[in-house]
Amino acid sequence: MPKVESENAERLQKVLASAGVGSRRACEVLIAAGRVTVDGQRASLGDKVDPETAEIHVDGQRVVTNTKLVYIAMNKPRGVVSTMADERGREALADYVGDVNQRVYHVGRLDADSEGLLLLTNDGTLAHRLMHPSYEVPKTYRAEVAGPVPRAVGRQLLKGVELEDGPAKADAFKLVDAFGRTALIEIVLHEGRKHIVRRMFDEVGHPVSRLIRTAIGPIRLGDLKPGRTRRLTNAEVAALFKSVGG
Amino acid sequence: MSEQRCVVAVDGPSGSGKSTVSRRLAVALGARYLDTGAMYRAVTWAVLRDGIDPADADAVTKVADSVLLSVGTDPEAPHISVDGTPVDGPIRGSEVTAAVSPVAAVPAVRAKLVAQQREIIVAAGRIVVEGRDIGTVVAPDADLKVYLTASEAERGRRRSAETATDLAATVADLARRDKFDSSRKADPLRQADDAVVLDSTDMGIDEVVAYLTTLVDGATRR
Repeated sequence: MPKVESENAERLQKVLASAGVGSRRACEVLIAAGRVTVDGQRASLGDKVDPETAEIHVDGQRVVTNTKLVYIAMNKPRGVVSTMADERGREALADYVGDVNQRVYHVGRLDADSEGLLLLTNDGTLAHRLMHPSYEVPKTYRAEVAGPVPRAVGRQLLKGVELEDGPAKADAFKLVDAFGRTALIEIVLHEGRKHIVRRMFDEVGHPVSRLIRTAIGPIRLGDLKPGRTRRLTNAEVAALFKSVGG
Repeated sequence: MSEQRCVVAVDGPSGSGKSTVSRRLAVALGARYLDTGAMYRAVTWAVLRDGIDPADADAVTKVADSVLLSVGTDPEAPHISVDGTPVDGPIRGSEVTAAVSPVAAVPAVRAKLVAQQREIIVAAGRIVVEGRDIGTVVAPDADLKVYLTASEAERGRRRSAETATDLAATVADLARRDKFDSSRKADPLRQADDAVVLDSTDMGIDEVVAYLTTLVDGATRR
């Protein structure tokens, strides 16, 4: 039971309702049923919380109640550098993010040459966990590589290859399409060393000509066009928290 | 979160922007600041002052044992003195730079300085510590561990702009020092297994500092 009552404290059901969990009445039912926790403790009816600082879960799913926190998915186009604003005037992320009042940061990076899903947020807790090696969220990429690609290559990458800075292995590998001298591969990795996908394909002799990240954990790029952004849904944010320990 | 105990470890190779970022981060957090590299440089300065060969590990250890290093941890005005003499300028000179790697590789020197660094950290409570073995050796229980890096070309560009030297020579020198520091037996430069890696190649200082401030907030929440 949260004892701390800051001046911003509001009734828990009101906070839950404004976060989109359900009507106030429905939220009261959830609280009474013991399905809501605040900062790890089971909440009871009548509790007040500060929506900006409380960490609230409903049925173990994180509910973000701080309206200042923003979670954005972006399809980073090729040629754009992974910085909000580039000191040397190159095209950067802020040029695409548009009307966000809060200062957001990209979580992890994509090389200028690579494209696809990049997450942007001002939530330090989520950013820290997504970047922390102990959570290792799987990331999915589509790679256009020099083909044809024999089956043995996939097996080799799944088994692991030795790179300059240690071993690296794919969690999943799938040949999606092959056309002429190019093959389209879907590959899943849970680590984020620099240029890791390109280096792994170089190692097995199939250099990457185009690389698109299509998913980070439960968040999918979907049909987001290059250069476009969208806000993550509440369900996506909850799923993302779940993938990094709640 | 202003007075809460908080230790931030910032490791990384030279030219990664560590020093500027760490100082600015300390200011932003209302924390103290410790540059462990300056301590190795100060011992190196004393070694050269006494006319000792930096490669003579036993003689270097004697110097390290006898000198009194005092370290000021104000991020706005960090300073260091050896036996009462301020050495902030001289320890950045080319003579010390050329001799610091072998001095910092002596295990007894490291043991002594690491002990002093831990005392400083405990006394400060809230502090940003930069170096090459902070997350792995000096403060393995830090609240946030950051491994700051940047591409070799970018690091060379920054270093050479900072010291107004030839770019090619700087890149070669950085590569040499990285190799030496990564391969030395006593506490080599390496990334802690639980460090957050931040590649600052394309990022400005302001952005890196603001980003780390957000991460500290996220890492120290409850």
